[in-house]
Parts: sequence; structure tokens; C-alpha cells
Amino acid sequence: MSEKRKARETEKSSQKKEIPGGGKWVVLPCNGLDKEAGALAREMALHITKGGGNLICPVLYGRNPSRYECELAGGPLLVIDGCKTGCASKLARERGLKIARRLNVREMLKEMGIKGGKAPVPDPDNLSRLISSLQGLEREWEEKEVEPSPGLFTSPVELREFMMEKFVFKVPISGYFFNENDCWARVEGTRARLGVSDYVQQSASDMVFFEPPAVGTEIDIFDEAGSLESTKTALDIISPVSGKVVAINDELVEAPELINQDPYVRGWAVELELADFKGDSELLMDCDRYFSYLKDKVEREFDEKYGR
Amino acid sequence: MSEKKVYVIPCSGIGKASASAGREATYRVVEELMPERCETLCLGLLTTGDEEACGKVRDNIVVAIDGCAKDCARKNVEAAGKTPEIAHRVQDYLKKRKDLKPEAVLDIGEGGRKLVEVMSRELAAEIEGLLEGGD
Repeated sequence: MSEKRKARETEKSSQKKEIPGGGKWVVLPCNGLDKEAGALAREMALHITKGGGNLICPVLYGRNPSRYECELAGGPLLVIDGCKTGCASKLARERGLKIARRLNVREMLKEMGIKGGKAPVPDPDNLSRLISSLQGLEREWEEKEVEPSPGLFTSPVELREFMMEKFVFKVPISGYFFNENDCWARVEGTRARLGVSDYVQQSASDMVFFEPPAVGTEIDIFDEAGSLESTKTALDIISPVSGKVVAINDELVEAPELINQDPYVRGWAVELELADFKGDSELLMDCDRYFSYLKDKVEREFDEKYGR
Repeated sequence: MSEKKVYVIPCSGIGKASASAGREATYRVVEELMPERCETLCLGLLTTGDEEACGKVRDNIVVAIDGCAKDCARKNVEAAGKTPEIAHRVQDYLKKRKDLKPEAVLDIGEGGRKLVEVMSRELAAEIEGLLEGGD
């Protein structure tokens, strides 16, 4: 394991210890300014999403709802209100959002026997107590039924290509990230679909078998995320990202040839809830870089094979 | 001197360190530097159209502090029917003091804290000048 990777793992584990509620929630807090309870709502939201998940700015969402479409599709919604006015809940209701869990800081403080201050400045001790009370949040999230996100991965994928002898190799123009194992991750919101590139399907020839991982499996970057067998070879899907398997492509289990027919869309293998895409992406190639990388690789292979 | 109240309204400060600095500067002004004249008001109340909050901004002096070019604070005050007397972005202060960069949303760091000090003092002076000028 590289030093950089070790450092990232250490950082991730320390974050998990630091944030009991540490989450994969999509969190919509109130703006949090009027009184201490409001300011604490915002601080709690920042802490919960520090270890993962998405944070929705209520003000920006109020003015521009389309800004957060992807994020809102990425997980269950946790709404945090600061006071009894319940602006965040009100906003969620007005926009027709499904609220999975609701917290009210004023009520939480009351249950703890704490009277929130009138000043809009969060008391660090009160924040610590509130954060400690979130122990159950992560477990609640894990117990939730996970399923493919409706509305994600539906946009058309544009491809560009290069030709080598009689072979044409296709690579998406954007939205995909590749590792050097020619496996891709299509990332939208907090989710990613994984698969293998057009180059793999051409090299391996007709796919005849796909063995997926179990839903719920935690996969680290560069771990195996299922295996494939073709008429020529057997290979593993090496995951370009880390996360938890939330869905597999049942259609691919039934018809592995989808990888040959449509490697970047219908040929997806596994869907993950991402754990640390920001960190993982440092080790990946975007579409432009992969296009150049693949072109060089194919040229070298042809030179070696045909002595060009 | 104007007798109106001054509402200092920062954006929510979610997602950007500069916006967190804007909120910190607001706290400093309303809690420590000018508590007798300044208050803050939750932007969420304006977003959801709370009548009492909209009335307060229409009838008083408003200072909008934004953390990015989206200008959520200024725009929501305007949507409530008021043009803020003073509107600043944190970046306006940062441009003049590039060494005082806020580090992260949860902890703006030493540079961020110094920037908050500078911002809040300049803001308080600007508000004082505005109040002395009268209505």
C-alpha cells in the first residue's frame, strides 16, 4: 500500500471515529442563524456529512432546486430543523421530497435538559452532546433498503473512437473514470456504476459468464467487483472506486453478451454507494486521459504483435 | 442618526469555507462589536417567505454577506422586497488580503480567523458610517 493511500485510510478511519453519525445521508439542514439551535443544526449537518453523504444548502436549493437533483437521488433524506418554525421540513414538503428521518435540534436539546441560547452562536459543548447522540444514525442508514437510484445513469452517453488496423476502439467523452485495468466507473451523485471498457470486450471476445458480488459487500478501490468469463479468457472487474454494492445488473447475469453489445451503458455490472470518490479519483483517469492512454497502449500492442 | 435596526444577513455558509467566514464575521458584529444596533436574521425565513421576517428586512437597514458569486443572501433579501444598503462578498475582502484564506467549512483556520477579524471591523465601521449618515 502506498504512503498516500495509507494516509488516506488513516484519515478515513479517524473521521469515522470522530463522527458517530458519520453518514451516507443526504442532509438538508435549516439555514441555522436565528438562534443557537439553528446554528447547531447547520453544524450538525456539516459534521454528519464530513464522513460521506451530501449536504444540501437550503437557501440555494430554495432558489435553484435543479442544482441538487443528483445529490437528492443519492440516498435517504435527513432533515435537520433548528427551531419549531421547521424551515427545512417546510422546504422539503413544498418540493415533494421524501423525508427518511427528521431531527429537531430544539427538541433534542430539551430532551437533554439544555436550554439553547438566544444568540445565533453554537456552544461547542452543546454541539458535542448533540453529535454524541447521533450514534444510531449510521446503523439506521445501513438498515435501509438499498436499491438502484431511479433517475440516475439515464442520460445518453456520447462516445469517441480511434481506429487501429481494422479495429475501432470506443471511449465515452465524459462522466466516466478509468483505472489502468481498463475498468470504468460512471459517477453520478454519490453512486457509481462499474464495468469494463470496449477494449476489454474486444480483447476478451464473447462474454459467456458474469459472477457478481453480493449486494451489501464493501469494496475497496482496486478490489474485485465481480468476475467475467469469455470464450477466450477469465477476468476480474477491478473496481476503480471504493464503496458498498447497492445493486447488480441482473440483466447482465442473464445475458453477459451485453458487455460486447454495449459495454458502457447496458453492460454495467455493479452499482456502488461511493465511500470516498474524491480520494479515489486521484488515482483514476478521466475520459480524455484514458483515451490517450488506451491509444498508446493499443499502438504498442499492435507494434509488438505485427512488428509494425 | 438613523434609529432603524440593522440586520446583518450572511448566506447559509454550507459548502464553502469563505461562506463560513462570512457567518463568523456576522456573529462578531452582532454579538460583540455592535450588539445594541445590529441583529442577524435567518435567511431560511426569507427563503420560505416568512411574513414577519420579510417585513423586518423591508422596514430596516440590511447588510448582506455572501460567501460566493451565487449571492444567495443578497438575492433572497431582494426577493423579500428590499435592496440591501450594504452587500459584500467575502471574496471582496479576500482579494485585498490574499494571505488570510479560510481553510475549511468546519474550521476556517488561523488565516480565516484573522480574515473574520478584519472583515468584522471594516463592516462595523461601514455600518457606523451608514448610521451616522441618517436615513
